Amino acid sequence: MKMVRNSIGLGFILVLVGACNYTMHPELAGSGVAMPPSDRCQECHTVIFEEWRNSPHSKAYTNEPFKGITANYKVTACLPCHAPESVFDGEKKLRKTRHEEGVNCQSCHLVEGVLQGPVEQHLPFNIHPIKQVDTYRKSEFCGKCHSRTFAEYEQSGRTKKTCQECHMPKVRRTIIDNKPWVWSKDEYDFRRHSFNVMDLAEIGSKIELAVVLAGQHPPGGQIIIENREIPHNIPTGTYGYHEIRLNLYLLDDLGEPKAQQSFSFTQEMKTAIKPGEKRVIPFVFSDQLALPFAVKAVLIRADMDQQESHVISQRLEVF
Amino acid sequence: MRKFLLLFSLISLCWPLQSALAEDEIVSVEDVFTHILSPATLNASHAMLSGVKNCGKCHSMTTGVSQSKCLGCHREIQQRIVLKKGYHGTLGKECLQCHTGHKPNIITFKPESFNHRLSQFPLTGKHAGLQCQKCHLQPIKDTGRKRFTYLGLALQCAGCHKDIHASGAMAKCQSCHQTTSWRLDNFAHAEKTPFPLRGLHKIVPCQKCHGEMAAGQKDKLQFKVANYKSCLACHKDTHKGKLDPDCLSCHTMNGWRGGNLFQHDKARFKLVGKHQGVKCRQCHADNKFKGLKFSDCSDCHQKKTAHKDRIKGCKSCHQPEGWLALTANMQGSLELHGQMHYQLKGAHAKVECRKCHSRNGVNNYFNLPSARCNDCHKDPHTGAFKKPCSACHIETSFKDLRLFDHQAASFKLDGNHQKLECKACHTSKNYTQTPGQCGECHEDVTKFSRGIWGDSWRNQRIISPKARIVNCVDCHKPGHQGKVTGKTCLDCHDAVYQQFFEARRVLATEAIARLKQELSRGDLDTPRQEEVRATLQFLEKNYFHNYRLADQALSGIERQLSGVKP
Repeated sequence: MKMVRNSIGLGFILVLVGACNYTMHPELAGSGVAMPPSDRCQECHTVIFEEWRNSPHSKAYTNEPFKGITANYKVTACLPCHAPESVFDGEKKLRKTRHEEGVNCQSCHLVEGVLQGPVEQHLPFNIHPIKQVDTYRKSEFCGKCHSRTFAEYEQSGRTKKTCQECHMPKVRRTIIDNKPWVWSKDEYDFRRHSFNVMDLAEIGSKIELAVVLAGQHPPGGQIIIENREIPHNIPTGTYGYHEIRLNLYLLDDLGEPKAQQSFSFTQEMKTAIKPGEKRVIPFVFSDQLALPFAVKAVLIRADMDQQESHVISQRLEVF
Repeated sequence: MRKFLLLFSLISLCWPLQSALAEDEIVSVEDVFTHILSPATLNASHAMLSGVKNCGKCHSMTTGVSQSKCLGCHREIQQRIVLKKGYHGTLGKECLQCHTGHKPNIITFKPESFNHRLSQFPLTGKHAGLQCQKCHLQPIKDTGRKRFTYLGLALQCAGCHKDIHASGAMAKCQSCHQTTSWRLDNFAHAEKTPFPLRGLHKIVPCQKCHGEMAAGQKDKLQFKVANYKSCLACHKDTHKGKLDPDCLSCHTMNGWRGGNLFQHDKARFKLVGKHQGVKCRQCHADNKFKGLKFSDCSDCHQKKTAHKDRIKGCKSCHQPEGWLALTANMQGSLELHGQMHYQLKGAHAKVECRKCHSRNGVNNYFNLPSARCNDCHKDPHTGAFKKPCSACHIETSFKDLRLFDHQAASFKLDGNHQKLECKACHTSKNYTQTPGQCGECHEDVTKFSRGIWGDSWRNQRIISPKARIVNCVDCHKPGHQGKVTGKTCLDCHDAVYQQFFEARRVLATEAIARLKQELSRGDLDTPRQEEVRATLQFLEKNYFHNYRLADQALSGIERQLSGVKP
């Protein structure tokens, strides 16, 4: 009897042990042509998937400027980074399938047939195998693709937050938020997968913009832009179009702009503002107004076709 | 009845007497009778004849007042009548026809209506307008006071006029003067004097020769001119006795200068050319006619400043016909021109003299204020340049700009710019108003970069982002010879971009080559075909300035060639 009890106990343990090694969906770790679509991840990780689907990563391949500049993907040199098989590859390879997903779940979380992430396996059995890797919590992980920005980050030499802390803010939630496995209520500090550029107002708070007026006739002075807290260049980025633009307006006493000047900051022209750098831009308007009232400085994140611009910060200084 | 009539007449005669008594005028009986018989009171000149006793002195009982009684007193009139002299002597009228003895007047004579021609002195000329008293005021002997009478005025001029002539010519006033005026305008000098007035003498005022009629000196008028046969009687000898005293051997009476009889040819210095028109005193200053130097031109002519003493011997260039009538040697002599102000070089050597040496159509060889170019040349640059012309131009030709260094200008010429003709950029002669921005000449490329190029191939503006950020000269540095030498792509972009550029180049060249081939099939009409060909050639060179616009343009062309409307 005892033997039976023991064997039942042993069997239970064996079942438990067996259950621990059991992989319910091994196909989720399929690589190459066998790589599953990201929709499969959505089945359990609904929220994270939604965050990604609205993020620039999901549009890395399909966005119009990219499509245009590569002449409808005929320029193949650009494609591997915009739909990489794995970001861990030193030289990025174009994914075999589903290019339209851009930088998809597998690009980051599937390495050589093994799903990886920053969090340990926490269920007693495998829905899919997962390997906990600390790299995901470090800036160098983002630097695998955003190498130039990461280099700037490294050189800035400040005590600073990781990329993830700003661009993937912390969210406390469960890993799985859909049936059938939603019963697992354990909450973790997860990171949002929207990979968004920081809220513009927040960027503005990290960049000091000041207008120092010198004279009224002609109206002139200095604009001071100080990259106080952002640990990489503004703008940053290796490829594509990134431009910060400073628009200056000379206002009359009705607040109407009467003259405009524009200054551009880009990586390529080596005019990007480095971490900690204080950029002083002297300006002078040719004296057109009898009584210039104020100078308004607007710092914007310009966009490729100059049709839409996002205001980062603005200042108005009255004479 | 007769008694009654007598009484009536007595009463009527007494009536005025009664009234006279009432006025207490008549004091005696005699006066009463006088008053009754007299027609009126006697006038003042006959006052001594008043009273009844004196009536008979004029009146006779039978014939009334007789002329003989008048003339018995008025002897001077009787004398004139006898002598048939004066007005009364020639009139032949009875006294009472004009005169009365009693009041109101002794005469019925009105001066204003008096016909003076009836006198022996008809009033002519200036006399006609005179007041009677002007002549008929006679001085009373001894006292000198004047009294008025119409009688006894002498017919001679001296009766009224004073003789102002020292020579006592008064006896024959009329031989010179007329009553119209004392002036002798019509004096027949030739007939009445031995000195006929000839030439300019005719218009000389009398007093020039006959003395001044200054106030108080009228008696100095001298009508007899001593030694009148000699000019020197009136004229000063400006030659100071150095020349022939017979003035008329050189001068005429038509003016000292005009109508000169003097033949300069008789002198050693013959007047030739322009010298003939020169006034005597220009050479003969201070009336120096003898001992003048004349062997060298400079004896009279000051050296012109134009020569600055660089030239000796006027005659080698100039002729007496005028300073501008240059000798054959001088005409076109560059050497001589060079010895003066201005060396004629290059194109100047071939220019006609008058092209420069002329003002308002008149030649003036010395009227060039300086050697400044714009004294002769117009400034086609409208004052745009502050440097002198010679900073850029040389004299061989204005078009020869070998001195001009474009590298010293604000826009330095390099590469292909050096091969251009000036007018390719400088459309006006004001060279300062020349485009300096690349896009002002290379408009198509800059417009292409900004996505505002062409309109047949595209339906939206496609801006190359770099057009806003990158300036032409960031890549196209001086001396680029049409290629990018300033910054290469990889100066700004990383190596991956090199693959991108290469891929893009292959794509563009292949597409353009293919479209060119299709175009040569000639489905399009000729003008359209030319337009497309030009567009393809442009894209071949410039596709990289705006990749996305180039793609769109190429696909537009492709649709055109395959018959699909763009």
